Amino acid sequence: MIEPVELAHFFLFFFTAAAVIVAALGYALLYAFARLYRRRGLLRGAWLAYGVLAAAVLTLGWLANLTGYWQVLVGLLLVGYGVAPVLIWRLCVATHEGEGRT
Amino acid sequence: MVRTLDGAHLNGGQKLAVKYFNVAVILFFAQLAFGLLAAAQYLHPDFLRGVLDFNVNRMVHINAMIVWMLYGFIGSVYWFLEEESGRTIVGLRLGHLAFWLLTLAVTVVVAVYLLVQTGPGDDFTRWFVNEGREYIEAPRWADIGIVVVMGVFFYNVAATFTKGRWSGIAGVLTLDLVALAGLYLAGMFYVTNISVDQYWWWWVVHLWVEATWEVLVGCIMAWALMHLLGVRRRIVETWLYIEVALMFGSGILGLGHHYFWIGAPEYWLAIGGFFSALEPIPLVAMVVHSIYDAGVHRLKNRNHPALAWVIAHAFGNFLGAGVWGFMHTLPQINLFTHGTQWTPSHGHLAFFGAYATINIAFFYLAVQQWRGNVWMGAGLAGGWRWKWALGLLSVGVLGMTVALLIAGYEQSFIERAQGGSTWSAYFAAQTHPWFVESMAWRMAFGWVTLAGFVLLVWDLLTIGRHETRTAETLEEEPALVHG
Repeated sequence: MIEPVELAHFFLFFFTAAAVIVAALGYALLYAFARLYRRRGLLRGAWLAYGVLAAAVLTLGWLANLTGYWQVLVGLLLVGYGVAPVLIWRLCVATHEGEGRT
Repeated sequence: MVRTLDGAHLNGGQKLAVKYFNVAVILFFAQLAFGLLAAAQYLHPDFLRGVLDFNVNRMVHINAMIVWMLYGFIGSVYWFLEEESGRTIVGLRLGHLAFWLLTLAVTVVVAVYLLVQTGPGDDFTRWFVNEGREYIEAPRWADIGIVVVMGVFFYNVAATFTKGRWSGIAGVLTLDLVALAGLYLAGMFYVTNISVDQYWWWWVVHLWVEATWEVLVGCIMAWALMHLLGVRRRIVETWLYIEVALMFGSGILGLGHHYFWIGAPEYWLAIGGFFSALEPIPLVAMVVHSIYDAGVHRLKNRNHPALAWVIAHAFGNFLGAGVWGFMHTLPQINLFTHGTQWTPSHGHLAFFGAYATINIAFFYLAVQQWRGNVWMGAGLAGGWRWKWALGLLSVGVLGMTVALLIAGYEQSFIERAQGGSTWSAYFAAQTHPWFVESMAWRMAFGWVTLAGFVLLVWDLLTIGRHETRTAETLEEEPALVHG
């Protein structure tokens, strides 16, 4: 069974849910730019964005009453959104590398 | 010198594609016009009452959108079919016949929507005419026609690739068309249990939009990127496979978010919630890939308007499907938001971002070839038009999205959470100043969208007309040297 979001938490919930995806975007953007231009400052920004993502996910878990097996969702969001940009970057390099070795 | 739109520049499939594109643009206008009428009726409920009621306007608005996007997709596939397969289209005359059949059926269906609201209710008409599921209101006879036309389309595509040249794009496209036609059948039978009926109905609505359409657009994009940016085929096809895996992996069971409140078993709450939360991952992945490609290949392209619309697609899809979707998709909040203006808020931006943008990008690719491979790069005469059309359409849709978001927030708060979904709470929410003012803003941004559309059509009809330069042929992107 689910425990609905409390009335008083509506706005915060919407804001936090949006923050999860926007922070995921920020993390992905900064990570990709950091690898592209080999800038450590951008990489630090990426980790900071991931920190915001983690905070938003944990807050979302609290606001949406994600208890019991729903806590798996919190883990999935943290791991899935954390790992995806790294894996995709590696795939980008790998697919282009296969074409480019001379 | 004036460059005209000349069919001599097109191959057989492209001539058929142009017909599909023309109807798509007309239906795009119908979508906007009936959307504006419905929007006006939110503000003035007596407007056209008994003449053109809200339910009719809303239905035509939504159906026109679905059908124009389908016309755009089908046209895009016909556009590249000969080039991709390396031969002329098998059964092209049948393809033309199917086009006229589909267009006639669409015309009759819209005329019936508008002019005939009642009729005899006997066993025959109940089976032959009344099907009546929301978003796919076409009568059963038209549905049968749609399946036949999709069958012809599938035959054209599969037979052409079979007799010509297969490729990764060809394989994914052909299999996707089987799913596209097959899933439509799920909305064509009648079940007495409303929960079971809705269960199958969502197979059409969700699995079309969030699975088969996404893959279809993936195929179209894959070809467009090779044509537009000179991206290597092997890279494009590898990424097409990855995208299909990601989309299907999260999108198919994301279907569960439609099963939360229809009387389906409780486990759908968990399945729908979990997979919906993962649905934005492919979008985030695309962002990384876009940056990689933009950074490494500098986005050298042969059609600036088309590329701009592809970029609009990346942002619109991310915001509309990703952010707007996730904000209200978990069952813990969806309990309050489903059936409010949250849904159209998400729908407006997601459909525009994910599908309208890609179709418009392809219109520009088509016009370029149709006008004799005209130059559409830097310094294009009258280039302000496509930029303003892009701006107005984007601002218009985004404005409507935000206005509907505010209305949906107010409804979920007052009607659902506070009022407990009673009739009085429904009317309290509908008359609340936040709702009424949001509807007024939605109307205003609807006009902005229409202005963008007018400019878009003007531009499509005139772009490159006085251009003397011919588009450069892009070499396939250079191989990267690592190490």
